[in-house]
Amino acid sequence: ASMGGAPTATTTPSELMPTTGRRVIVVGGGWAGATAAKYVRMEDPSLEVVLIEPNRKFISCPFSNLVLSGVRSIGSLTFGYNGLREQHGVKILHESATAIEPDTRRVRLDRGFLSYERLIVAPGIDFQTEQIEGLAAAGDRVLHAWKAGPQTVALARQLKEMPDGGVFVMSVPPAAYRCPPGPYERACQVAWYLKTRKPRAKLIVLDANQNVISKTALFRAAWQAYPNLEYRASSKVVKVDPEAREVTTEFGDKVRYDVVNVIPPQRAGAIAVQADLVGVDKRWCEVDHVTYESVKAKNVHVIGDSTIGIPVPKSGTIANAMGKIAATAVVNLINGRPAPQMPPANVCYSWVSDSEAMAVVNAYRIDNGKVVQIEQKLTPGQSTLYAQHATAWATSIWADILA
Amino acid sequence: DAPGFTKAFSCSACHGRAGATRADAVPSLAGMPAWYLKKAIDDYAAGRRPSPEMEPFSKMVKTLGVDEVAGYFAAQPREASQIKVDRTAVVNGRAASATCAACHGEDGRGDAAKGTPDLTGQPPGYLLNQMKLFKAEKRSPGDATLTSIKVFMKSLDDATLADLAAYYSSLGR
Ligand SMILES: Cc1cc2nc3c(=O)[nH]c(=O)nc-3n(C[C@H](O)[C@H](O)[C@H](O)COP(=O)(O)OP(=O)(O)OC[C@H]3O[C@@H](n4cnc5c(N)ncnc54)[C@H](O)[C@@H]3O)c2cc1C
Ligand code: HEC
Ligand code: HEC
Repeated sequence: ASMGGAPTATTTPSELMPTTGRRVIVVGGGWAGATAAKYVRMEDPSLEVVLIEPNRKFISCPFSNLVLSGVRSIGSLTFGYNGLREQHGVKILHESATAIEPDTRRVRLDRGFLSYERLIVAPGIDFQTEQIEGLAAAGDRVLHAWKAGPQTVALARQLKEMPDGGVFVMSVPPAAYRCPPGPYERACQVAWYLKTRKPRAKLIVLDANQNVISKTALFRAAWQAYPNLEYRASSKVVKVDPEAREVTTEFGDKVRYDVVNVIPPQRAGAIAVQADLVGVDKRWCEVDHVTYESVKAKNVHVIGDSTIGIPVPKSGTIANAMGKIAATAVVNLINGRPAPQMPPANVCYSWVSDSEAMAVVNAYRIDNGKVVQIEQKLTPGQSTLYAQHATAWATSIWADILA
Repeated sequence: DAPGFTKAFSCSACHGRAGATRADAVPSLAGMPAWYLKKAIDDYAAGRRPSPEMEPFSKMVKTLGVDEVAGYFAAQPREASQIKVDRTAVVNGRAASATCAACHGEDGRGDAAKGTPDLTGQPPGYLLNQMKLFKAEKRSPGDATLTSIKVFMKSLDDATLADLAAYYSSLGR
């Protein structure tokens, strides 16, 4: 990246780009961060926005379970950042932020630092690999596919190459994790694929939770169509052995697999943990419900999956909503005005086959400065109509984030 | 800086930027008259027009202020859907539209006095789904004011409804 001032040839880290005015930095260009960057610029074009994101392409986690079943291609979920750059004048550095310094209002990168007036931190999640014995050492032999990208494609290939009659084992981490219904949607997609392509194969779902934690009745009903799916509640995976092709649950049950998908326990993105934006649990970031300012650092706002304490799921819809609300708060606060009180809203569609979907919807309001739920509603069942709505949602929200 | 801009934040996740949808299965809200939008929100919130998605969001809109949200969308430029429609279907749809025109107008733009919405330029998928919902008595079930239109829709096969959807969607492009 060569924007503005090139790094000087000294060993002292320096300001990478001289500020052209009042600057907002966004760390992480996913569902929350890319939305925030766009909306800050839309709402106040006089502000400079620098988005720091290592990936050159945005790959959508929503709908990525359909890549496993071959219903969608990863290419159909992959988008560029040109819209943000060209339509909205967001400056983008394709690098990782290495540290956050709230006292000096600086974000560090490998080559130097950038100063900010306000910072928006949206690094998503990272995995607590150490919670599962053997997982770190297993490397690419045990996939999570919980950040859409190469792992999604690799897991799809493993599924495709699995012999008919084989066993696919997937593990669901204890809540809280990214996308509560996501693992159960994945189970539907894998089971649908096996049913249509490998009728003698089987799927075993090992859930750390006591029951399906989202859309319980709807998933249970959808699974009636998949006798090849065996669901085991309260079966937390604590060990994986890629040599023996075996996982072990906390009660000592050993389960053999041909293909395994371990979705590990999660916490906020590493940069948020390093910057000590997380609470005593060292996992998630607590924020003000109106401004998304961190309770631990001034002028630092945290949005998306990294947050906790607001009664919302870790979903892309919520991340997008938080991006807009935090952008508005930042714009108002920088201009010396109070932030308006705006609640987020949620919808999560889940595909239960190649053609049918269902949804959970949550509406909220703000009461005494706190987000509270007005209502949660489920679709009465699964249907092709809701699948059409799901596609409409994806089309619209991808454009809302990036176009 | 319209007051409704912020209050309509969550709508763009499904209805597109400023309510001008690029998708097929959800309606455009941009340029929709405020009276119709408010009636729809009221119907959803009260459960009269069943929609698991719109019921919670309509309750939310009512806590935020439906006038500002409706005013915001009404003020946005209406953009016709870009979803492809079949030319033959459009021709057939026009031929079948005489009864519809009595209520929705010759130009399909609706009529506040008759309580009919503007159908022009809406995505064909959305229009077709709504007609099927009328036909199956799933949109506003039991609403006596809509009985005659439902009876009429029931007399049409789904292929004709698809033609009508293509025709109304093509208007204003
Ligand atoms: C299989 C699956 C299915 C899902 N389905 C749905 C669905 O149907 N509907 C729904 O609403 N949600 C769904 N989700 C959840 C949704 O993907 C997440 O809630 C959403 O991505 C959260 O957004 P975020 O911005 O917090 O994180 P992300 O979108 O992950 O973005 C974080 C970004 O930060 C970047 N980053 C991290 N560290 C740094 C650093 N140090 N410096 C710079 N950049 C950094 C990362 O590269 C990444 O691009 C699904 C998730 C999965 C895994
Ligand atoms: C989860 C996706 C989603 C979100 C978010 C959403 N809508 Fe909708 N909306 C829909 C769907 C689907 C329909 C069609 C429902 C039906 O069959 O009646 C619809 C229909 C409508 C209609 C009826 C239009 C017509 O032509 O009759 C209005 C008005 C509306 N929405 C307003 C809103 C507003 C205002 C918001 C934001 C506060 C919003 N919607 C957010 C999915 C959504
Ligand atoms: C007797 C009057 C009448 C006739 C005839 C009629 N409509 Fe309507 N139509 C209405 C009214 C009133 C509404 C709005 C209902 C509401 O408020 O929810 C409506 C709504 C609709 C909608 C939903 C639009 C939206 O934005 O959600 C569609 C689509 C539609 N009509 C198509 C047709 C077609 C096609 C015909 C002819 C086959 C037709 N209508 C005939 C009165 C009529």
